Amino acid sequence: MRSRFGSRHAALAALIYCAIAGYGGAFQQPEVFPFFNWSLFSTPPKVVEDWSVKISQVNGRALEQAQWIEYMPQRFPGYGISQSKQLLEWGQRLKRGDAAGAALQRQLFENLFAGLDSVEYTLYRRRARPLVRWHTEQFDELEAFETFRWTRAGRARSE
Amino acid sequence: MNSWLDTRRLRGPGATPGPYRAARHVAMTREALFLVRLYYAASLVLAFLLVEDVWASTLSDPAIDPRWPVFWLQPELMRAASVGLMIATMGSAVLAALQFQRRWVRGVFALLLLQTTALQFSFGYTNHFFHIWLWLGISFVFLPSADHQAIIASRQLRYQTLRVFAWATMLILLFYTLSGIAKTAGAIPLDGDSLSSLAPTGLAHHVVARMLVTQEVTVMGQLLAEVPQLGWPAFLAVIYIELFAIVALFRPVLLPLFGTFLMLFHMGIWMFMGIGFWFQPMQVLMLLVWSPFRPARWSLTEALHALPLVGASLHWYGNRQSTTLRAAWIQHELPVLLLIALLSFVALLPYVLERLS
Repeated sequence: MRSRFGSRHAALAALIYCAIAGYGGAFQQPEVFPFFNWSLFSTPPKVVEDWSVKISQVNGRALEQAQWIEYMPQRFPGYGISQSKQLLEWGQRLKRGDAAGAALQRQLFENLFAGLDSVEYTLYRRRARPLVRWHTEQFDELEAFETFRWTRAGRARSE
Repeated sequence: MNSWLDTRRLRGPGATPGPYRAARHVAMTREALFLVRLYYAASLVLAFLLVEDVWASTLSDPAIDPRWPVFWLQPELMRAASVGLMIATMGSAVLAALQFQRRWVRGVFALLLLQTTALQFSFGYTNHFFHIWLWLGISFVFLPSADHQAIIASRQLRYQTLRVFAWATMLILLFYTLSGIAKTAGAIPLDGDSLSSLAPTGLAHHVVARMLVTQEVTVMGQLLAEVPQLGWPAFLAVIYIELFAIVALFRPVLLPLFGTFLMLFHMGIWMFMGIGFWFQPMQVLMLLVWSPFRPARWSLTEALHALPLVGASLHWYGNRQSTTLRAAWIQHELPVLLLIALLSFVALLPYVLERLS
């Protein structure tokens, strides 16, 4: 079969890719799959604003002290950078007042609790300078948003 | 040589393309076909890794936010449908490893890879480990549907094979250039929470912020936290190579140089941030370092003369009697800068519009 596609078509395809990827990055975050804009580590964060959760109870047993989820890798091995981005998405939807979107993000986040009976946690908005937090473990701002209780039974009912 | 690479204004100083030689053309085609074979062999491994990851995600009947390629996936049928999809993906990977000469086999594999990757990202988060592999698979669908002996014997099929391989090379280089464009745009911070990407401590802030989230502490990351300026030269080099990666498409002598740097870059990301980009160095090795378009005899001097922003000055210095620095820049660097400006304009325009709205 003789291909009629040449260098002009390839150049056009490249520009179309750039346009779709740019549109996806700007308006459809994170992307119009699979047209990613490859914006990775583009702007160094002087201050990081993120959202995280403090776990206070697991399977009905209260922890001695509530802990950030990222410090509990044995209990929540599925937690990683992807889930932290998802928490950010949840937080941004809450800030925008998008209740339906926030509820979906909460459900998606709670996929992490599969295998447990119940978890009680509080959602926080945090601001910190990375190098300062690294050396001192201090946040510049910490705002508790809401406390949630997830139970396997409750999830089964809602389904 | 393939007409796609015949973009003379972007070729750079000292490039003198030779006449068409059938033996070289055949050798290039053989190399391209070998790399396609390698792609489908590696796809077998990748398909298992992907399916394993998706399977772990779907085991607990999780909440789902389907990406458009899996719009058909109903939550109540998710486990059955995803099991079917995963079996089909693995089957198509095996079939592609055995019969990748057939276009329909490559097409089915690319389609199922798209579906499974979309399913993987339907649980509220996205990563980009498999994107390049997916786009390579989509590109390779356009390879001729013929046995390799038939391709080697036909000049027309050889051209078609090399053209498709050039598209795939263009895509991977374009992705790196887009990443470089984003980092270059990040040189001007738009709010008080960001640093310039050119700041001496920029890489340290990226690495430490990442370690704080993942709690995966790397030795190099710890070092950078103590001496934040240490990463500056490496980060500037990354921005330069990424931004101008697409130029290697027109200056093939750069392919092995940029490819080697990008492999080291991915290994560096692992050492600093603990992000295991295991497939990315192999993609770069296949498409850039081992590219069939690389010169038969590679020379570091020629590669340095082809470097964007550097080559024209080197060329002028070696030919001071016959040319001026200004003329050398207009001839060799201006087309490159215009190309990057065009891509930047198209890629960044939506962000400007979003800010304005």
